[in-house]
Formats: sequence, structure tokens, C-alpha cells
Amino acid sequence: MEFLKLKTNRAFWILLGIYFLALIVFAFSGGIILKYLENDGVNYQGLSPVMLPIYDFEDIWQNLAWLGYLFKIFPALLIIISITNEFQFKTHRQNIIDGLSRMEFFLSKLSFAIFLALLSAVVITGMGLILGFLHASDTSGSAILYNAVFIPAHAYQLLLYFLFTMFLSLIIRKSAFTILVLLIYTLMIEPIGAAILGHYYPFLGSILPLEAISSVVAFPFSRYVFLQTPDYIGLPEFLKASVWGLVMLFGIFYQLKKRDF
Amino acid sequence: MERVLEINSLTKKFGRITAVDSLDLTVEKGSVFGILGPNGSGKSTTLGMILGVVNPVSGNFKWFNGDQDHKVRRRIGAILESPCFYHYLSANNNLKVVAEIKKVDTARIEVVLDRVGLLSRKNDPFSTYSLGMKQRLAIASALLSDPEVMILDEPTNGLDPQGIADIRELIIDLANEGRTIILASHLLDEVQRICTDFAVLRHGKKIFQGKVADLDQDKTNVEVRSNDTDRLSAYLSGSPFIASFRKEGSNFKLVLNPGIEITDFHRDLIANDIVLNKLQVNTNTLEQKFLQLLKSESNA
Repeated sequence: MEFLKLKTNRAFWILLGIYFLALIVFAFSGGIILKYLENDGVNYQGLSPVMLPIYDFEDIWQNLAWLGYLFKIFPALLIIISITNEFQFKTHRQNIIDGLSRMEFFLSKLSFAIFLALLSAVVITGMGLILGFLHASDTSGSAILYNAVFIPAHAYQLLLYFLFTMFLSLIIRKSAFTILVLLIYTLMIEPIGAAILGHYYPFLGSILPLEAISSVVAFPFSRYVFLQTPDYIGLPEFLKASVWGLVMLFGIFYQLKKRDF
Repeated sequence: MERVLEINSLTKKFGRITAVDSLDLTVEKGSVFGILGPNGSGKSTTLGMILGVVNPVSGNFKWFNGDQDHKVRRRIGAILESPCFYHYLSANNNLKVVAEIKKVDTARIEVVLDRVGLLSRKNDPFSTYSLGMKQRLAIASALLSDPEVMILDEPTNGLDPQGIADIRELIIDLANEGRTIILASHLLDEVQRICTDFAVLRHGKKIFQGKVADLDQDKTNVEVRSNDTDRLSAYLSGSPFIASFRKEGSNFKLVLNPGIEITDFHRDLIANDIVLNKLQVNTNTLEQKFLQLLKSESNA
């Protein structure tokens, strides 16, 4: 049903296009970026950046998953559009009047979010396979599957971020304002808050919602410098993020149930 | 009679304002039920509650006799306030969404679009439609599930005379097909023309419910004038035919006792040597009834 609602929406296709284009461009230009760094005279302990095995199968999934999450704001805008459109056109009311329950309304939006998350995972898998076979030194089956858990982790992480976005959209109901709040919160409030809180109370800093969600896939490229970045998904990180997911689900339910449509 | 809708002491508050105050209402199958009331009297809020978009504070309502979950609304065709559609979608695609919700075969889309005369514009985006076309599309959408009950909230609001006439004709046709129609309006003559039953709301309370037909039978309102005002006044105060009267300018407005024909009254006047220069029998219009109700209510 979400597809029926969005299939001729131009903004929807443009944003979806930008997201995947950005992913593909950045993923494929990894080698170019490393060359650029090399030309800039950057080197790590005598190693040229070009030597970094970013496309090796052991690393590629985490690298791409992290990259995908970096561009999360584009699919999140799709979620915002899909929800605030309803409020703008008052079609959320008409949907209910026509015989949808509020639960079904939510499930329809949730399935759209799951679809986007899975789609992103599929695209990342595709890119990973292509780039891996082009560049990786080891293309054996076990190497490919090694750490492929980052793919479902990516989908899960995106979905949690979408829940956060849905929650904001349902509270604010206006698209422009929701986008503004989401951007300011994602790019400013929380990073700053996390930095300040994290400085004094590292645990508190790490349980801010977006910090927790993004920690599911740790920033991968630092491993090439520090050699100590987790290349696995930590259980505490996973739990912290999941708890936030539940909190937001509860918030969404509360919004849908209590407020007049 | 079979009941389509039963509302029991339904209440809604917005902050400190009580929009709907323990409202009771029953709508019978096959009736065209008009809900009248000035702006802000709680008409739309009431419809919002019985359609599940506004949460009542207390009270309940019952559709038909069956289950009361959201699926019951698929058997109802309803439009609240302005037509609500996805602006960038065509009529056809908008109705596909509705068909999906109502679990109706998409073949019905052509049927209902044809019925409201929009078939030739079905692939144009909703945003290019005129207000009249939007309203007709809303009715098409409401008709999609071939509903037993239709709810229309101010369906002619903002339309030009031709648009108003089209919509009214459509409503009358729908009623003739045996559908129950609930119509909220502040246009009194609209309700009088279309409806069989009506209720009047004021400050969220029902102050009257009755049949439109009963209004027409009430022909006891008479207006008279004579050159000899004093004599007429004296006669009216003593006449056994008169239930009540009141002076308005040089006219007397009076209500005859039940069962008294206007001819009896006229003959008696002549017998008492009173000659009138004006005798007018007023059919009780909904407007008079309405104003009378609002007046008596605000005095109370």
C-alpha cells in the first residue's frame, strides 16, 4: 500500500536515487580516495594508504555497512515524507475513516521502513560482492561470509534509525520542521551531547539514542590506524540499540493511540 | 425499525471546552439523517468519533449490530470536511489506495468514477482538480465499497450553485437506492430538501430530534393584520381558537389550537365584525424551527 501511495511521488524517487547513488559513488571511489590521500603525503607507519585492504572480504562488509549508515539521512527523509504527507493531506484521517485501524496504519509505515532497510542491505550486498571480486585478495566462500553479519546489522541499524525518524514525524507532523529537527539532532545536538557527556561519563554518552544505534556498526577505518577497532558486533552495543528501538516503538504506539487523528 | 447507528452519552473535551456533551442519537436504516447546528456545535467532532479518528472521553456508539472493530468502517462511506487525497496521485491511483483499505475489487473504481462523472479525468493528478471535482471524487471514494451507510460532512461547502445542485441530486439518488445517509450541515434548506429526519445540536448537546415531514404538517402558524388593531387584539386574547399570539409591528403572529382549521378562524372573525387586511398561513420551515429551538435553549 505504501508503494501505491508513493509510486508517482517525484521526491520519493529522487531521494531514493540520491541515497543509492551516493552509496555507489563513495563505495567505488574508495580506491580513488586512498590514492588522493597518498598523493597528499599521508601514510600510516610507512604504509601507503593504497595498500589498505578496504575491499577485502574480511573488511568490506563492515566498511560498506558503516558507509550506508553514514548516508542514512536520505532514506530517513523518505520515511518523513511518507508520514508527514499523510498529515499534510489529512489522508491519515481518511485512511482511518475508510476502515484502516491505527495499528494497520502503523504496520503499513513499519513495513515501508523494513522494506527500505532491506533494500539498502541488498544493494550493499550487491556492491560488496562486485567490489570484493574486483579487488579482494581472498575470494573463497569462507572469506566472503566472514563478518557478513554486518549486512543484517546494517539493516537493523537503519530500521532503528527509521523508528526514531517515525517517532519524530508523528510528534511534529510537519515535514520541513521534522527534517530540520532530525538534521539538527543527528548532526549537532547528539554528537555534541555525546562528546560532552561521554567525556565525563562515558557510559551515559554511549547510551544516547543515536550514539547507541550507530555503535552497532563501529567506525571501521580507524582499525587501519589503531588496529583495535572492534570488527564484530558487541552484545552491549546491540542491546543498547535494541532498548532504544523498543522505547521508540512504545512512543510511536502511544502517539498513535492517544492522539486524535 | 432496524438501527444503523446508536450513540450513547458520547462526550469529547478539548482542554476545558466540552465539544460534545453526553450525546444520544439513533439513526434508523434507510433514513436521510440531517445533523444541524451552528458552526462549532460539535457536528464534525461527533462524526469524527463515530468514525474512529477522534477519541471520545466517555460514552460509546454502535454501528449496525455486529462487530465494532475498524472493519465495520469499510461498510461505511464517509467524507469529513474537505476531500482528503494524495495531491500528487491521480484519481485512479488515489482510489486504488482506498480500494486496498476497503478490500474492494479495483474494477469498482471505473464504476464509481463514471457515476460522479470523472471518468475522463481519472489519470489527472488530484492537485489539478477544481473544488467541485474534488468533492465528487470524495463521493466516488465513499461509494467504492457500495456502502450501506454514507456520512457526508458539509458536502456542498464552498461549491458554486451548479456544483451544489449536482451534489444534492447525487445524494437524493443515493438515498433512493435505499442507503442510509447521515448529513451534517449548517444549511437549513439543504437539510429540509434532502433529509427525512434531523437532529439539532448546540454546544455539543442534542436539543431536538424529529422528522422533517412533521414540520410540513404543522400549518398552524398564522399572521394577521387589521386596520383596527385594538379590536383585533381584544378578540385574539379572548378567542378559544387561539393557543398564543404575539404582536410584531402592526402584525399579529398567532398559533391556532390543534384541530382548528383556518376557515373556522376566519368565519369567527367575520362573525365578530373584524375585517383583516392581511391573512397569511405560514408553513413552519426548518429555519423557524431551528431559530425557535436555539432561542428557547438560550433562554433556558
